[in-house]
Amino acid sequence: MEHEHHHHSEHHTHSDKKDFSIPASIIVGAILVSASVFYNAKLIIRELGGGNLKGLSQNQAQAPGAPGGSQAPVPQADSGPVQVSMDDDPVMGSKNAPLTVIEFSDYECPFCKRSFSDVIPNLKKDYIDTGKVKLVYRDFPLSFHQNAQKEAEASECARVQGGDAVYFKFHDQIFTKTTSNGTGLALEQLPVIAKDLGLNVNQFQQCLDSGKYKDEVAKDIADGAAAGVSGTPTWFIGKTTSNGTIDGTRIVGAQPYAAFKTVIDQQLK
Amino acid sequence: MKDILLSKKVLFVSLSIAATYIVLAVYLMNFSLVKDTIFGSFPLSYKFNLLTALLGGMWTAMTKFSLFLLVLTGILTGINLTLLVLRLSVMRGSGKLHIMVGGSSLLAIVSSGCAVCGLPILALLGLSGSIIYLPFQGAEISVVAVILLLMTLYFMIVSYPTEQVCKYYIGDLKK
Repeated sequence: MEHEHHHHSEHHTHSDKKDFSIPASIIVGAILVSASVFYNAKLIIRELGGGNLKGLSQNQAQAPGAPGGSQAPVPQADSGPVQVSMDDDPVMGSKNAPLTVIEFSDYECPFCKRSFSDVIPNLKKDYIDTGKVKLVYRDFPLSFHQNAQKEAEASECARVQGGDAVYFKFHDQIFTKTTSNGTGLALEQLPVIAKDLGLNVNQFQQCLDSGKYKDEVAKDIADGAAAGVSGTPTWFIGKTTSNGTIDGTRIVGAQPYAAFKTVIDQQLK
Repeated sequence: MKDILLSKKVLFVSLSIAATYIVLAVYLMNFSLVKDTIFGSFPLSYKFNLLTALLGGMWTAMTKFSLFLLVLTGILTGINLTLLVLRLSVMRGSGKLHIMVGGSSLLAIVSSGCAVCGLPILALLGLSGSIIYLPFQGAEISVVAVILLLMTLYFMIVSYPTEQVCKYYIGDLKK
């Protein structure tokens, strides 16, 4: 009886240890798995030279400035601020704003449309209209969004007639009208938008048909790829510089406005 | 088996793993930002606000279908891992099951994110381009992962060594 009691007591202690060891081993296991995922992802990125270019079409990857193109990009570190240029792309807000937000976007990406409706209006109200931030829009049409490339070129054709103000009116019209599913806006609608905005439609159509801004869009893609953009929308937030290249904090995806506000407020301090 | 699955301990551990898994997958989209925020010399309020805001990205930066698959995968991974550890604690070995659970969970992590705009975690590996060759831009990988996890769970439940508990006593008595 005493032996049995002793045995039960031993078993009880053993059982207690087991109860503790199971969740502990799960947590340790989860941490190890997480660590290995992070570590391996990092290693692979480093081995691939930081490139995400497999996400681009052959045409995009061979754009000037893209690896494999005429000019090799500077590899970007996988942490810390990322160097990215605003190039000669359209600017919303005061050119002297202390902070620059560069957005790489695709007119046919549903999450870019969501950012257009949820993030941009707040950003405009709180920071752009108050002269604290300027927004630079750069194109990053993904190859599987059929109409995105032409829509990007069309916006540039609108800009050539009316500057950045008209560019952003055109941009707003595309995002408002498209369902953003690759072919969310029929290409026949582009001259209709141009007409609605009072642009010279013939001139606009000639510009669009000539593919005059194909290289400009390709340059945006190449610069984005060099800065580690692999999907849209991707944003960079950094202090404005005289040469137009910022050390930007990268935010990927249609994140809530609160994320942008937090980063911007911190950088404005 | 039903008792084991519905026990508070298994439910708690499974849900904890599921929550960890989901948070990890959501943060992976902004891996470098999250890393810099956690380890950078920023005020605590900044770290807290940004990490909380990015977590909210699961509602805005993913399709409803992707989010559903992510939550499902997280829950299945949680249950699978918990049962696996429970099973391994009574049965030594079973390496194949371990690999299946681990493999399908990693597959799901890799494919989570916004496939529509080229942002699954595959992009982290420099493989975002691979999704353009898939008809649903990578969402199918998540579906495969869910199927694999369901299969693993099924096999684990069917072959769960419930009687091993008795063997423990027998082994104990033999001492």
